[in-house]
Amino acid sequence: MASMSGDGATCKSEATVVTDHFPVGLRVLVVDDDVVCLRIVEQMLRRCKYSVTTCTQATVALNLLRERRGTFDIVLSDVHMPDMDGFKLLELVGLEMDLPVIMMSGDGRTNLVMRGVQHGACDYLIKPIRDEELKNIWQHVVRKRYNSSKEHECSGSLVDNDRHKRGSDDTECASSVIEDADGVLKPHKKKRDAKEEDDTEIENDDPGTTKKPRVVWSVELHQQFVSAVNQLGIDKAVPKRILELMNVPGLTRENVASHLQKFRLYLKRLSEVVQQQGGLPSTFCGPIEQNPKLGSLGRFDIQALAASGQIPPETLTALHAELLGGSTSNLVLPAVEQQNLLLASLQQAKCIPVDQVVAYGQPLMKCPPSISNSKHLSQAIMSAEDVHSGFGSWRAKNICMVPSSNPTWLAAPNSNMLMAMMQQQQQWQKQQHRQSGPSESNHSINVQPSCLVLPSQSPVLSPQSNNSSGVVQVLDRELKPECGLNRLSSAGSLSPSCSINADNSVSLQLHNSSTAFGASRQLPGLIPNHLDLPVPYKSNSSQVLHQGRMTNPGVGKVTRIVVSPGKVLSSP
Amino acid sequence: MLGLGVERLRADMNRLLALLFHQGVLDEQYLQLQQLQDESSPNFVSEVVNIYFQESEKLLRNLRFLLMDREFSDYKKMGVHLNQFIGSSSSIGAKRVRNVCVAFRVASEQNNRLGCLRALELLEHEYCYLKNKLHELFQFRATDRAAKTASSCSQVPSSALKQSALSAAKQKRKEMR
Repeated sequence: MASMSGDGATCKSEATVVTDHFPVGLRVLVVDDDVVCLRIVEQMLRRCKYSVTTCTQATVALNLLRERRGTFDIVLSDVHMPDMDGFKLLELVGLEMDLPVIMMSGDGRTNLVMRGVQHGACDYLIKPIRDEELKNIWQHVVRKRYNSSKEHECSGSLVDNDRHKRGSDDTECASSVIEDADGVLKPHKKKRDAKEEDDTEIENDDPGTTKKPRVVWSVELHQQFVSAVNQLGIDKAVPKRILELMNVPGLTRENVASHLQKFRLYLKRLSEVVQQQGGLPSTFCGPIEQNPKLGSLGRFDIQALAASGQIPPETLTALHAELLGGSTSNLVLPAVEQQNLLLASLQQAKCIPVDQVVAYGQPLMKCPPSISNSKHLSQAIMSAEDVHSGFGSWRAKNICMVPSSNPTWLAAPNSNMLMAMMQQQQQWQKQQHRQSGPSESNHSINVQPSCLVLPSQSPVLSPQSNNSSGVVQVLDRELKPECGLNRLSSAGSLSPSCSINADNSVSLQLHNSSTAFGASRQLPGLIPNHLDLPVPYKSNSSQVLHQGRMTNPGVGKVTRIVVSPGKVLSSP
Repeated sequence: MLGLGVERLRADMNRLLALLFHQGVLDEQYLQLQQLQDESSPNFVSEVVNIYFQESEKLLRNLRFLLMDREFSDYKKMGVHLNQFIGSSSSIGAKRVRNVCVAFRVASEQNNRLGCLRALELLEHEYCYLKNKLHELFQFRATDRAAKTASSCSQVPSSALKQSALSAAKQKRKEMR
């Protein structure tokens, strides 16, 4: 297999540096429960000189992706799978790992393809898949990287910073390209972003000396903001009053106002998304199930609650506040020191970059199509559950990047937030545990403000029920058959009808559709011959074909075609 | 003399292949499979096709099991099986089988049990036919390969080998009829 050589696109330069061998070595993960297709696609991909990993189960694939972050460039997934709906997998991968996902299916009906698009698929291939189609999948990888880096440039803070970053990180990129073991281009890119954001933070958090006009909302700042809003009530929260409550020197009313606006939008999206997607709690019960190590499930619960569609904005705010602002007292470190600490730890964290945030609620957010912003917003709330045990655990599963297109709100504070989260995590959880009393597992949490109690999520629920509903959904939609029995009179359709014909033999009458059967000389039907119809065996093809077509007088355009295939076979 | 034998073998094989294409049993996807076979995976086609047989027989059994049940109502499950069958059949180029599956699926979507039963029978027939023909094809190929390897050895025994291979093939063909 060709050695891994990514492209240099992740180096955040305007022009993508592409190595000579690209896209050789593109790392593809293929997921399909059908082993035949899997094997064929695998072989085709190998022929394209890609590096292929195959999986028959979606859950296994997800684990693979989570455990080995950055070892795959693109995912190909079947739509119909027994353990998890392909679309769910698609969402999860897109949200957690931000990898391009291509769907495959034997069913190319428009509604399914539409669903694929809506769930964020880069492409939708219809089986049988040809190798020409697979040759070009690398474009999705490159495209995604281009788009992300464009986002970064727009959101990007300070030119000087950028340049500096680029300079130092290009070398990182180069080395990462060459390396195979750590060859994780994306994480490096993200690491760089994190640093960049930290740098801006460092400079901006010092209000007095800041030369930059933009205020970056750090974790503490945001917490203060949220608790202020909470105090005032989301409806009554006026920037002026919030400002007063927050009592942060150097913060202007305008800053608060814009931040408030964003916050409101975020809450609105949360509830919107929730309404749009029913049954979502199960979505991230999936992740829960797969990552039992995760301690606190504050995020899950919030999202679950949100998903239940019963959370008014105030509650959300309150929850948000709880989440973030539980104990500001915890963060006694002055902002700058905290940044340094964070940076230091960042540099230590090898594989997994810092600002990867758990995004359990993201499936929630991602479902509506145009949701790039809310994704980030939701990520702010979500923090790495497993961070609570320390930086070491940052390598753990459920962290993913925040490709921030919304820097002021989230991207910047992200890394800080992680730190804060980490510390608050335990705090909050302890609180919750105390409050929830007899709750046996982390799954159940009492939420004070609205007294919504989240029952402990049984992990068994989600994939199964989700899957079945997913399947049901899919199948329900398939009820609009391309070749409908309803359209008996249309010659172009293929439909079976069963009838006992005059011969007293059972036959399947098939409308002959040239599209379905190819050339008109092909013989699509076969009358089971275990009855009284004698069928001569002809080894000569021409004779077989010219058995001719008999029209059944009873039914208009039905064409019954007798085929003598060479042998009379009895049913097994 | 030897050359003629091999030639005839190949001609027969090609004729069979042409027949299958003509009948619509196979389509271009099968050719793609053949192209995927190379030195690194010399048995790719037969490997894939064998997997296909195994999976298909499982599916057929499941389908039959479902339909035979008097209280059968789980059309969705049947749809799931059929989807897989459609996918794998189209992937190896089994066109007729695939088409019957599609028809089958339509019947199941309409909860048409009788239609499903008929479709199942048809499907089983098509599948058996396909399987037999593909086996024939593989035998041709195996014989061909045996002949090739035989010819790479010394002359005298190879001729004997080839002859026996040829006659074995002929025998098999007769049996198939």
